[in-house]
Amino acid sequence: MTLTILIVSFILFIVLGMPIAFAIGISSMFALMTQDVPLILISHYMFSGVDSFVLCAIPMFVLAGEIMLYGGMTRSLTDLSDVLVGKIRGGLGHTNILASIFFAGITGSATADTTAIGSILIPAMSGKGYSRAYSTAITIASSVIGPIIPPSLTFVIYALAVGNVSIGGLFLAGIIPGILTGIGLMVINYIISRKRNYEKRTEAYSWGEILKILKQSTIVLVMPLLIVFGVVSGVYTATESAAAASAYALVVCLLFSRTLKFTDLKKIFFNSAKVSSIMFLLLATSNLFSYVLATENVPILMAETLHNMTDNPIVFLFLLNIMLLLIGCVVDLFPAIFIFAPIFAPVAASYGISPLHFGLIFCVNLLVGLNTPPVGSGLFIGAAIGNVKLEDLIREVTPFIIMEFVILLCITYIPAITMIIPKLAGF
Amino acid sequence: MALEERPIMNKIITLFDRLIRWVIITATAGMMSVICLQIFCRFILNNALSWPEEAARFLMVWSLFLAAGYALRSREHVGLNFFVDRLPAGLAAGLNILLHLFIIGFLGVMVVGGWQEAMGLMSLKTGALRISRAIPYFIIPTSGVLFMLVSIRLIIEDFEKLRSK
Repeated sequence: MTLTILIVSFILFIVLGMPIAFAIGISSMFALMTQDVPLILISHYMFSGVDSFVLCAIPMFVLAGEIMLYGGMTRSLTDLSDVLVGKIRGGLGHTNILASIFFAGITGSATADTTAIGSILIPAMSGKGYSRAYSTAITIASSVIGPIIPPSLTFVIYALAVGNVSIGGLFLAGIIPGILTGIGLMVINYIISRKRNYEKRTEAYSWGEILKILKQSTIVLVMPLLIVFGVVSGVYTATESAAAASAYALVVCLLFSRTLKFTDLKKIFFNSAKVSSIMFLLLATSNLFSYVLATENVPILMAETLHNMTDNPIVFLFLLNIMLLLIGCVVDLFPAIFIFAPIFAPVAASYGISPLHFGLIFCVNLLVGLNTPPVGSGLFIGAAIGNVKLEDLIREVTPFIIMEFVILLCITYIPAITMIIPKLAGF
Repeated sequence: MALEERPIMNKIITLFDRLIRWVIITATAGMMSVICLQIFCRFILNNALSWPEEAARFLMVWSLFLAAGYALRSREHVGLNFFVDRLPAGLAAGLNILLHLFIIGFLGVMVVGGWQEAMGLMSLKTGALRISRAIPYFIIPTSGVLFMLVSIRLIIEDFEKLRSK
């Protein structure tokens, strides 16, 4: 009864267009009303779900990304990518993908990545003869890479939700899958660009320009390296590393490159708080939702159902792939991790799947779900940023999504892809 | 009557808006600063402090719950607009009003529950900062009231859309 109310009211509110954070909260409230529990629990679980130092990583990662964007640091990453891959057919498309790999690093959030890189490269690409829909499609498809390549806020949230997996280990596990996704998307871009005869860069950069771009981008790339080395070696936590990266970016932009003025800070701090608050409120109400699921024994029931269906880890993973794609289409990334990772991770462990490998499967699966037509939320963000029709975007993004499915299957069924680097590092 | 036609009301809203923006900005900047201070003390001074983690947590909940109100005001909280966008504008506005009434009901529970719990925590002290545990917790009823005001504002907006039809 409680569960039915929870799920039916949740889906109803989502379909009617209620903000997901409130849809999660209100359906949980309805479910709690059927039980004999004091409603004071609602505010209690909302607060206790987010009052955590690990979660301070959210505003700090977002802040680092905002400073980079306003301080023009994103620009030097797209320039560097252009130097490296611009001469291949479909040059700006490759640049877009490679820039996601570099930029990824910093915000670790697909939305921020789409906004930051899209605002520079979508206009640039359409200026060079790519259709606007194609430029947007490649931007949102490559935004999946960001959260896979370390440092990644997504993995921080995953580790927090699950509890017994190391953030540093997840960071290392993401390296090869992230690069693989990048290569896969570049292959698709190359094939389509040849067919449509899209541009490649004809003029060469002079050595002086290359040197200047290298210098600028090295200053920027210090940020993700600072975070990854700190976290993997355990010298400081993800939250601390993100705060240090923000401070580093502020010093660079205010004192050295002078691309920011002190008066810009107001806007940057405010915007980063607003962007983070959206994820934050989602996590607050998700914690309430998780509580309701736990009181209804859903985690145990889920484990029993799955075990009754199959003893084979491969079948289990296949079922999981499908469920997560569906979940990723409807629920936003962080609440999906917060609510479902603690339910599925123990089940996966009972099938003998390594926690790091499972973490990667789980997150990549949800990320691909974000862009999956017809309702993936990444599509809507893309359509808004690129100012294109949803239908056109879906048509153009489909080949990229199919490639991402293939890579997802590789990651799922070939553990070595994820596990080599963490194993070498001793995780 | 539209809010813009009432100068005093408008002034109060602007004042509140400024105040809350400043709280958000200082809290976010403060969060970054205390975390950096923590790193500095541990590495350079070799003397780890006990309070920055707690301070960062409290600054975060205050800054982000308040900022969520602004995201609500500009309708930026993620939701699925796939179906609603296909409805006629009048129906969509009506539906929005209904949804915001549900939200206000939820916020009511959040405010009352949050207030009760904050009162219960009043005399307890936090571990590191030794301040009342009610102080960070007060953000729950405070932001609840803020969200309510914003929701009412959005309902008025939707009503105006309906009337102008």
